[in-house]
Amino acid sequence: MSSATEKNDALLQVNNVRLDFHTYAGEVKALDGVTFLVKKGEALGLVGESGCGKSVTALTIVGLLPENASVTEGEILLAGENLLAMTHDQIRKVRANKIAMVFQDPTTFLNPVLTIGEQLEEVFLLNSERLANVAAERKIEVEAGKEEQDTSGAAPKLARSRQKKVAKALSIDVLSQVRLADPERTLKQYPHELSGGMRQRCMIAMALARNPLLFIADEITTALDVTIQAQILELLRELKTQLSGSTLLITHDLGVVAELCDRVAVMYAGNIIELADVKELFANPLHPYTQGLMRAIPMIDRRMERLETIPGSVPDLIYPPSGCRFHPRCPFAFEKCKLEKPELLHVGKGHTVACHLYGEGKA
Amino acid sequence: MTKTVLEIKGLKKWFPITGGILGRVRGYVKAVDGVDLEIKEGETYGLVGESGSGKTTVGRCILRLIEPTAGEIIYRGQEITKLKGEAFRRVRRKFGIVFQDPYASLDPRQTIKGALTEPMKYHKILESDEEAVEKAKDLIKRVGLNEDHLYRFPHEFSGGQRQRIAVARALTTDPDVVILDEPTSFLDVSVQAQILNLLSDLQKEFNLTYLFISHNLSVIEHMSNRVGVMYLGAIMEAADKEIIYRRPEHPYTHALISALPIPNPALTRERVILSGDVPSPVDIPSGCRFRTRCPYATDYCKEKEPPLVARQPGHLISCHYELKLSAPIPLAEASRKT
Amino acid sequence: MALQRPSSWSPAIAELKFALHLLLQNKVVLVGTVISVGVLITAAIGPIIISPEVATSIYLPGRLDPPSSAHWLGTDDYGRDLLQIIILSTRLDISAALIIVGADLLIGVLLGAFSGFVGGKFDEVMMRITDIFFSIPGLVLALAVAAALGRGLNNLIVAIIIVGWPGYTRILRGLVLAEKERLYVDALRSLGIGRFRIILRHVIPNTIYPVLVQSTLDLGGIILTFAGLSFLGFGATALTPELGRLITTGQSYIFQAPWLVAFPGLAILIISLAFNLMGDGIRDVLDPRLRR
Repeated sequence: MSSATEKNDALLQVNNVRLDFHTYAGEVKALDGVTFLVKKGEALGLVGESGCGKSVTALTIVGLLPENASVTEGEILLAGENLLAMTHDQIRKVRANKIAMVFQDPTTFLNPVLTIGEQLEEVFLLNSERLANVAAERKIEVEAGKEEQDTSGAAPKLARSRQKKVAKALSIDVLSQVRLADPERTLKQYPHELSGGMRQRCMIAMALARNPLLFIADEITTALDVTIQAQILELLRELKTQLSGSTLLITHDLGVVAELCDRVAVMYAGNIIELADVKELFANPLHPYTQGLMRAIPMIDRRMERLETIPGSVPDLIYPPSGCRFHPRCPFAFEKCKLEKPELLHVGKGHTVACHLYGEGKA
Repeated sequence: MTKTVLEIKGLKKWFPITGGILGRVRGYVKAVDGVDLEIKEGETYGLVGESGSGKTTVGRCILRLIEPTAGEIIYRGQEITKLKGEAFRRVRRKFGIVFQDPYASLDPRQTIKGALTEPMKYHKILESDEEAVEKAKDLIKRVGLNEDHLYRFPHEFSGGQRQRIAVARALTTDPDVVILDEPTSFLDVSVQAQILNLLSDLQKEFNLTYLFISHNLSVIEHMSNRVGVMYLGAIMEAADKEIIYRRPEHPYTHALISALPIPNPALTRERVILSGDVPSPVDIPSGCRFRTRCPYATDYCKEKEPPLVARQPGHLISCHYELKLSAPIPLAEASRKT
Repeated sequence: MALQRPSSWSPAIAELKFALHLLLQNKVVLVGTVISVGVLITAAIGPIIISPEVATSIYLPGRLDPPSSAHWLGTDDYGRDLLQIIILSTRLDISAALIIVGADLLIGVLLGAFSGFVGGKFDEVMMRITDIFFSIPGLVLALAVAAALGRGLNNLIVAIIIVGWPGYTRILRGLVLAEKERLYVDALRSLGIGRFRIILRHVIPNTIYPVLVQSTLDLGGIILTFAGLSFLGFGATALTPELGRLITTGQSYIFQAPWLVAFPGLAILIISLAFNLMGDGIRDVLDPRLRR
């Protein structure tokens, strides 16, 4: 597991989270002991194909799971506090201030009947007490009127009308931070008037508005054209250097991971099966699934006659395979793989893998 | 010299926009605005472009699922754009198509057996029911499924399996040319690999000619021999794959290839990031349609639309200038083998 | 290769089972369904159990007798046992209603499907024709047509059929307009399969459910219309056992023998209510599922 120094560096710690969905067909064991951590200031990529549980993991972190989901085990620590043990209200506060999540489809995320300005202001006004502080952080001038002076010496609490003005100034500031050409104009526009790339930027702006500790991006470039995706990736790269928070980047696109992430975690059927620094993972993939994945993707920087395929298909999580969930498709599977689920073991250079081929007791 | 199987000249598809009380035509969505291309026997022509480029519309125009507004489609020397009735039905059999969405391209109330035998029986390709079923069995096995899958319904299959069925169905009329319209976009990476391998195998076995339409540059690079890059309804550059990906000469191609994130963190490269958004196909820029985002545009680009001409044999390009652009993917890495 | 579900039932059967399952959960609908089924059974076996000769056996000494142990619902003005006559009439009323709805469905589905799919002039003409029909109140139109055709059961049935088909045409046309944009239709066209076959073999089976639902709802209303027009004098003649006819003759004796009006009226009410409830239930059950 992680060393002591790693633990201190960690902003988000996901420890052995198990989650089930109750459906008509049966219990879907979607997360099977997910463990990983996100360090302060880093970008961690969470990679896997559809159904592996990466989006579910993100929703578990922010507490936005559907009714039929239940976490049966584990804890999620954000700066030391266990998110899974929180009440509704507490989680809402966390979502308002500490974690920001951006989704794949900006069309469904943005309210179509409100202008961008209204939606952004709403975000700022949610936390009206801290508005003055936030403005100060962004170095925006705020003058408190006489009535508002707080005698206790703390930051002045602003009157409602002032709040709106400050919120608007903050909105413009954050929209320029995401490189929108004409922020003032964008404030007055409705989501459908903007292009896909611009909507995505607005979503990112709304996320940044809270200056979160953790920024979770769930497939945010998947629906975009390549050239627009390049713009957004460029933006994210810039923001990464500017902001102090950490990023959890969920995607199935290994190219995006290679561009943006510091470390990568690979998920399969509800488990983290490999975790390493990004360069290390690409140079030296250890888990047979990771290897298969990399060989299945057509990559334009190398010539491949045939793509190598992983035989079979993703398992049914109502009746998952015993032991290692990948064993039915694994070319290297042996007896132990059917019987015992492999733990995540550290094999050096910050590289951990959950596979019986490595560590003690290998064939 | 291999034969040209399919040739398209000046293909246009303009969708009228009606408005106002009287329903007058206010303008046009120029989805396809003058496309020329040529596909030779047995090769795969990759048609690549972003959303709004018109590439899907081109595919549908060829099959006359949408009627072209202008232009010619020539199949093995025969102009098929205006054919009707029986003559057209005979030609249509020579084309197969696999659509993007495996969940919507099969009639949910029809068994797989029905879906595969229907075209054969309708066109009277085979004499009897038994022969049709035999051929269906053959095809279903050829795409990697079992005979008893014939008696099931589409909802019982996964996305990848449904695409296999779609491929089998495309082959029921013994086509010559198969149009693949984003066949793997909805599929996971590992399933995509299976389907792409299947398509390659079938191409060799049946000597098929493919028009592979996609926005996924990696897939196009893997599958195609020749590549045509579309932007806002027209072809910007068309050449052999090597040239498009390693030595493009059109700034859009260059930006497109360099925009692609490569799954190799050890690679450092110079990226061209285009500014702004794609203009609407209702309001195509005057002169060269790419000029609003082109880093090299001049005033002349506003005035005249550059024609698609062959700078070298086999390398067509639509640009007024001969630009020397850097390699979007470093050549040193390009020669690395798996 | 792993498949997702072990069942190989046709989607139609799966839906039917699911619908049945949901139908049985609503008490009111259940009652309606049970009664409707009961009525259908009565209509089917009635004339077998009770000899049709009862309709023509006039026994004047026993006419207009009030309900008694011999005649549970009394007798009519021909001396016939009212209960038996009512049972015999269900066959007539129900079969008439079924024929009418069936014919309207056939005409409406075919015209609507072609209209929606083919479009163009044919569609334009169809729309205008149905518009004309909609501009005249149904009952009035039925009356006019029935009057023009003359008295008689068959003429009445034809009249109501003529009035009813535009409704189904429009519903189905709307559904087909949406369905023809679906990808599998493009796929079929790309295979060179002709429009006729696509419409008959693919589009109609995929769009017919809402219309079938609508038709079960309509059944109740059609029964009412048929009985109503019969009451007005069209359709059935004096001795023919038919609920509307019974009320016609009954109204002359409304003070002496109120049962002659009450019981047939009650029968009409129960039958049409039962079908309405059943139709309602079917619609509620299938409606959300129809939004695929």
